Amino acid sequence: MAGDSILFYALSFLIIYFALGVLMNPNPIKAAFNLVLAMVGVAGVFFHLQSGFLGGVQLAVYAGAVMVLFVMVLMIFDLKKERDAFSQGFLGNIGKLLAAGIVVSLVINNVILSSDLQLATSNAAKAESGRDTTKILADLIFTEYVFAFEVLGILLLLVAIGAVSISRIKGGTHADS
Amino acid sequence: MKTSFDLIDLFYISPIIVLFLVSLVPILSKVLNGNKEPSSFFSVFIPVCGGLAAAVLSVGASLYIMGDPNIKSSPLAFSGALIMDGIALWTSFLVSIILCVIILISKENPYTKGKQFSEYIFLLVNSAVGMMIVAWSNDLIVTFIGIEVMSLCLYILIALSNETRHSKEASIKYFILGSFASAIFLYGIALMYGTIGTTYIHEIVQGAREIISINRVFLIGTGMVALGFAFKVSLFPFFNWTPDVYQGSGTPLTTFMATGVKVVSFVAFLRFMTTDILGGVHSEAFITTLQWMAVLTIIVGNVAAILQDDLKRILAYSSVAHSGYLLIGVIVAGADGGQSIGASGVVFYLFAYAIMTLGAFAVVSVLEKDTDTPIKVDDLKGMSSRHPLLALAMCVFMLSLAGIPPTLGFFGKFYLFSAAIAEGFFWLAVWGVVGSVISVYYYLRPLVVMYMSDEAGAGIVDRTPATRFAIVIMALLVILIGLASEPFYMQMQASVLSLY
Repeated sequence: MAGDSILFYALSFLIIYFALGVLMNPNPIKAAFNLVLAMVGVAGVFFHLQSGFLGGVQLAVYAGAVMVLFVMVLMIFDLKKERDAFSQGFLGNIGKLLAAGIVVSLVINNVILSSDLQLATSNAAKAESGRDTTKILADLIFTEYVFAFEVLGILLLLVAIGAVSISRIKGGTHADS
Repeated sequence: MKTSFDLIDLFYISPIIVLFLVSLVPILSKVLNGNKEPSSFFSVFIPVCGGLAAAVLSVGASLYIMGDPNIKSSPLAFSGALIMDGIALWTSFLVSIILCVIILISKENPYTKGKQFSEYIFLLVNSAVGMMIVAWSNDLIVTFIGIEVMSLCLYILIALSNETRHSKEASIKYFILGSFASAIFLYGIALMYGTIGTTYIHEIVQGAREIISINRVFLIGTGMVALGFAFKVSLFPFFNWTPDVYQGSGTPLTTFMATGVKVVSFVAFLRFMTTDILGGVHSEAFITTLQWMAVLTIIVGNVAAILQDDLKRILAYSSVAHSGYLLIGVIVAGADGGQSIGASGVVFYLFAYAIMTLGAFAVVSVLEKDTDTPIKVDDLKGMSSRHPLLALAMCVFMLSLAGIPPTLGFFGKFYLFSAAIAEGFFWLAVWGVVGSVISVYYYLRPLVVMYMSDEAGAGIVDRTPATRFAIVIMALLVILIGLASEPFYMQMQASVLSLY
């Protein structure tokens, strides 16, 4: 299992490194690319846990589609003022590191102090091949979690209509004057 | 192939199906009508009918469950995603009523009427759908989705206001802080799932007491989930967004947040706290923290309200203080594993609080001429001579919020605090009473201004019949349920406990 551990820690190190990059980088485009790399790392962890489907979705949807939108929006806006407002130099970075450190150490401390760490054994973890996990996931979505799945459909409709109506308010980009 | 749900499950969730379908009516008629705002038949009458239908269906589900001798415990729907107990059905009934009143107020309020009203109604009704999901949810994941449906609608609704500065600020503030709280909430769920292996409340109950005593990761997970709820119901260290957002939003939305969001968040919080997580060995610290949060919320809310002059801001701080009183009930119910009178006390208080807050905010709404002049306490001057009925109604709401007998608010506090004393949380009840005494000062100020000053304040806006109708109904409810609170409370307690 040593190989597994090494892979896990290497991936974790990369994810945390790039996540910190998102926080510390004053340039929003660079921060966005750091976020892409962090998401690729998370996808790597999913593959490592033998859930190939989730890893693929993570790569295609988050690292691919969502981030492209993100970067496109960032490039449309002129972010000079925001850049000055959000990067407060050395002290600001120290503050961000401290805040992240406090949360992480709180969790790590409790993980270590836990005398008996039970780990959930879900259906997905038991499955061996990637094809099985996809099938199990599909089964779960349309049986056990069908209600949550349908509500997410409503949520997407809401967000779509909401985005359109927000752009049409007074002062919005599509306001009819 | 196993099936995952029956027809009866669809019957249980029929209130949200009706509401979702009804929410499509105004926006669809706008689209079919060449992008012209539909008449108030489509945008007010049909949604209000939908809300009433949802209320009737909630009562119907409740009667069906209690009438069927085969149903021993509270039925679960959709393989455990939802639970149909007394609390859930009372809450969905209440949310439907709140929704109807908010629609009526919205049509006549300067912040919300006019352009894009059909989009507004669509988002408002679906926000109520999210609220019902939160109230019914038996799975923390479904709770999370419900909270997101409810909140995302509200972020957009606040930004849709006709007022152009403060509402945008309020919206973005609420959005950023709310998504932060959601992230922490979700992280907490992940930590809990990692240790106990389930997100279903009825399964967490079975192992929570044992696992919280030995596992710190589970403890920190529960802490994070509780923190997410604390933000939503604006408890002490997480209440700072409340006054700003309540003041910046249009008055109907402020009302919706102060009543609907608070009611369902407290119901979900109550469900979560009654999973026996307060019974473990290490839970003493948890209980102590919650108690301090309750006491500080009561003190900070009440003292800050005294210093305000803006009527909406006073009511915002008063809603913070009421969160403190409600937290007392949640602690009492949690410490006893949910079987006590604490749970029904909380539900009754939520009922009382929602009705009187609806009324008080509706009075504010009827005073608003345009979106640029906030309503101060002095604007109520001389209201008793020009609008005696509305002044009397405001009087009833304020006395009820202050907790003076024989109004509904008094009996709400009475059942809540007596449950606390019965469970041994004596000093919490004392702080609750102290807070109520402080609150009398700022609740009576509007009354003094209304009845003892002859100067003319802001006039009532004409052509607001629906809002006035709602105000009178709410005032009557405060008095009548207050007078008949004993049988009403007994009925509520019976249905809450029998379906537990």
